[in-house]
Amino acid sequence: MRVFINIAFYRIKSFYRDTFTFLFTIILPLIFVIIFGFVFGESATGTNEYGISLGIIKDNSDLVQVLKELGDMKVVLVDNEEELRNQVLGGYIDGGVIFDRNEFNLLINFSSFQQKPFLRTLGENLANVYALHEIGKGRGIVKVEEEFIDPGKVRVTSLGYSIPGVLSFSISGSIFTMIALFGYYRKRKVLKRFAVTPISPLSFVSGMVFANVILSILSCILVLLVAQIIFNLNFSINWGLFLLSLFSSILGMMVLGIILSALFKEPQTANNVGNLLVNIMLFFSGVYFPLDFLPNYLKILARFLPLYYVGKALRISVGVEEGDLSFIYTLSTIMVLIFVFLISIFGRKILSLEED
Amino acid sequence: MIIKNSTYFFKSAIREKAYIFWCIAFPAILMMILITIFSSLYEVKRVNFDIYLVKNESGDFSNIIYNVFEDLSKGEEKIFNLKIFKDISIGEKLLEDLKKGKTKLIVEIPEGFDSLVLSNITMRMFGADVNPVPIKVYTLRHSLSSQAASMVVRSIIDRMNLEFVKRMTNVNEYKVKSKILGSKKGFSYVDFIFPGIVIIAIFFTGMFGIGQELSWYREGKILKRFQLTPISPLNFFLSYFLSRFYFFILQILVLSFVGKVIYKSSVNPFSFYFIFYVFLTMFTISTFGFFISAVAKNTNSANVIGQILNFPLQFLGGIYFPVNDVPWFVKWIVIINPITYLAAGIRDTLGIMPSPYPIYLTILIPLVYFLIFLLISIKKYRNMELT
Repeated sequence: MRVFINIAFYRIKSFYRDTFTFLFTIILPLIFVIIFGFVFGESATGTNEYGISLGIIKDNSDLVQVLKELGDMKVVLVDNEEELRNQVLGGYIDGGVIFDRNEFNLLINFSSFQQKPFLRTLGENLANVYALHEIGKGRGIVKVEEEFIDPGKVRVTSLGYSIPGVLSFSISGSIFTMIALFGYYRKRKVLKRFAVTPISPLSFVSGMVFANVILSILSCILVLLVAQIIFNLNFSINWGLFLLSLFSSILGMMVLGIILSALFKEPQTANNVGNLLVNIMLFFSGVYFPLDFLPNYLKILARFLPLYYVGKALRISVGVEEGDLSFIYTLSTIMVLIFVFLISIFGRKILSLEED
Repeated sequence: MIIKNSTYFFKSAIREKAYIFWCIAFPAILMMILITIFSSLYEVKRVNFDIYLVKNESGDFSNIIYNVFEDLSKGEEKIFNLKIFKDISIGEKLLEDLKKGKTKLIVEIPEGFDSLVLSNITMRMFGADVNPVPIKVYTLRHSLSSQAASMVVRSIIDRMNLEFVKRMTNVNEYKVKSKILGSKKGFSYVDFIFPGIVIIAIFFTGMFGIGQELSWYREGKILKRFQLTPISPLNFFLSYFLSRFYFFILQILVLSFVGKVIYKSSVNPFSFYFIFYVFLTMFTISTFGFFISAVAKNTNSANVIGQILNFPLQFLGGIYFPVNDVPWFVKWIVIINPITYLAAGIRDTLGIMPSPYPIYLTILIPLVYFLIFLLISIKKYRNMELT
């Protein structure tokens, strides 16, 4: 037990001395949260549910009135068509409407369209409501009364909803801790030196894994707390579930690291493949980009990526998404079991592998 | 001599699998990933949404709405996958389904809807100003597809209103044109991202490649050994830069192949402006790499400096999305970021997207960075070699 604690303690100390690992695990997710928070901050905390800002030329007071009737929209008045186009092109507003008494021209900023594909239907809505307004019929006989349902227990901004995704980015770093342990340590004959000591492979591996898990959990909690403070986010964290999700997700990512170390003898190759895998997972698992409008084959691909489930488990545990508790329990059990199975095989082999 | 040395450096670099991966393969993979995700978003042709319609009325008006929704849920071009519920008491269960993503939207025709619509029409015929009768729509917050489905339902209801009113009075109908703006000619995501990825590829090689490799040369005393050879420092650095120049050309060829041949981009990689900005990027970013290698204590520090600069420069340079409308405390990173000007300049001159800055600034600011970092690097290296 003493050996286990010493090794874990050594690993924690070396983590703070290893600037690269420290940076990747703690600083980068923080930078990511801050950049994304401030860049998407306005739409995230926006003044309207859809976060739409629409520009129109000043001289059309009827249109201003109609846009107000449409609701859920920030209206920006501009002097002329050129200014309107420049505002849309520059991304200062999501779109602009040009109306020449015959036709509505809806100009949509391409980047806004990425985030709000529903802008596509806005022109039709506007034309219909304008036609009714023109004959003094307001919104007509029937109107939609919209109620927004929070997916979780608490109401959070879009930024708050995406924070669990940032945490999963942090967690994905665990892949590389296992590549370091089973790849680089082996290559640099670090483990061989332990073989001449009375330390058992089990104590060594479990001590290292334990320390890495603790460090990753601490870094995730730090990112979560910093994001909560800076952006005034209000999560409803179930700490038991959150820690369980973190713990099992970290082990799940470590499983990937072990598999890569086993597949690629050269740790640098395993590292590169790991990096590529992390990037693919970040893009296709719905962490940063919504999967809703992707083609079906990409949605199916997402279901095979562990980060998809990690993100969901974290969202449930911080209360921004509702889901069955059985989901987290099942996911955690699967990840822990696979981890125990693989670590028991590779942990035993770790010293003998180095002999090869 | 310089050519010979540069060939040696180049050969040495292409033997490094990691170098090839990060500098050649990764930018191409990144471009493919971005195009796969975002092009599909812009080219959505047939999207259909799972929606629940709660209808416990069977009068004329609620049946009209029901029929419209049912019609829109048939055939290959259907918009909805519709499920009808008549028992309003199961509302809580339906909301649970919405939260769990089993449906994207719940549309509820409330009790007494038909009589309310009838009285509304009657009152209007007598000239009274009455509020429209509500149809309840439950939308899931943070769900794009739920919001999109809601917008479609709004559009349908507004259209139905127009049809109702048309039976009572004359109504003007207006044509609608929607256009995605992002370019001067017409928006193409491939055209938008292609020059951006070229800049990012040069950025990876210039900043990480040069920065880390030269730091490693210093740390491993390789630079000192070069001092003992007849190769002058100028010869060394020119040869080294030339070897990276070959690398940049290789990167651009690979990316141009992916952009032009696979994704049919209309950007001409042989156009004067493309080549001009690519060269400007090469020189500017390479001096970043030389600067990092000159100020970093060792390879690890060079890596750390590179990583710290990487995210703000990459994400706040307007490569992936416009960064004009950001708060002032982030805006200053955008303003001092040379990538901002390089990306804006290349896109403007190629006719992809107008630059928010004057064109002379998109050339001048990167040039200023180039000169400053070049001078600092030369000074640092001179002092270093003397000691």
